Amino acid sequence: MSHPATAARRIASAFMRGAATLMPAARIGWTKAMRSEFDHIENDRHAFLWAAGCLLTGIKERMNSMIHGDLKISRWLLAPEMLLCFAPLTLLWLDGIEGRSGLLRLNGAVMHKHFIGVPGGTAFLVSMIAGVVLATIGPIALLAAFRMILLRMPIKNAALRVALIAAPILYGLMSVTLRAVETGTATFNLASADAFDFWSGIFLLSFLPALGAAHLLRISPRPPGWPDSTNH
Amino acid sequence: MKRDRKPSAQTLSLLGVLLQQPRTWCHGYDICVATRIKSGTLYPILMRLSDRGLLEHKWQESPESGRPPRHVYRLTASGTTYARAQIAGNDWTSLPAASRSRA
Repeated sequence: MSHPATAARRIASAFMRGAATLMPAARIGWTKAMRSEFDHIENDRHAFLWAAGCLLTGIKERMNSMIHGDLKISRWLLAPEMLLCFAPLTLLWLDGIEGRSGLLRLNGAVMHKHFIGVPGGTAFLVSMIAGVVLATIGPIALLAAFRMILLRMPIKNAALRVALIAAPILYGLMSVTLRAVETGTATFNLASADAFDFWSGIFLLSFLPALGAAHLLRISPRPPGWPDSTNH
Repeated sequence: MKRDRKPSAQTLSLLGVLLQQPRTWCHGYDICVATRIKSGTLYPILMRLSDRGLLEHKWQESPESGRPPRHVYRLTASGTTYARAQIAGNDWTSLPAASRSRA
């Protein structure tokens, strides 16, 4: 039986269509269930409230699927994403190892001239070594990502899973702390080109790798015994 | 590892209503009226209970001609056990009045 097309009923119908659009594919049967009840409600006000609730359900379920979804994407998209996320950190690591100022160029003369005996030189050397150590996660992550993309081998090692997330974050925190000690509040003045370059570096070398690692871990099966975050 | 969360007051209210006649199929709108839970809260709860195998549902032809079939719900055997346990383990007076009066 069709109901008279009052304004409230038309808006309610639009809400029901919105709910159907928003509802994830796996829940589409529930949209039909809500719709069939809607068609049985005679009172326009009740039908309107019902439809508003259904729209809210559609939004909730969509958000839920986005939060708890498996975030799986095509390998053709995942490969460039992983390159974008981990290649800058890998290049930094390479430069830190064998660049012009890399660790392999360090020798007694260089150490004495630029670090030991220079104010703050030792701290700078330690931070440089720590940065290179943390940046090691770049090539490791690239390797793990492409092993998963090409060979479908998941990242099962619990320590590696933690390191993939923790290392870029630690690198970012360390860089920001050192910068803040060095330049004070100017660190956060994005109007200055220098600070802007610094934060661009943090974005590329800390934020993006952490985000890429989170995505990689999300789509890689968890080791046995780890809590499953998809439970409700 | 599955978390065993304490059910919300609305879930308890819904379980209370379904438990009154565990073998009877109920319509979504009727449950809404009985529990005074809005559809925006009711359906996510129904979905979760169904996902956990505590609720079964099916389509039922409407007795009135020209009306679309309706989706109906009832507790499964494990759902009935779960509902009894949850309601027994909770302070019944904390539930909404609508479901309390039906218990």
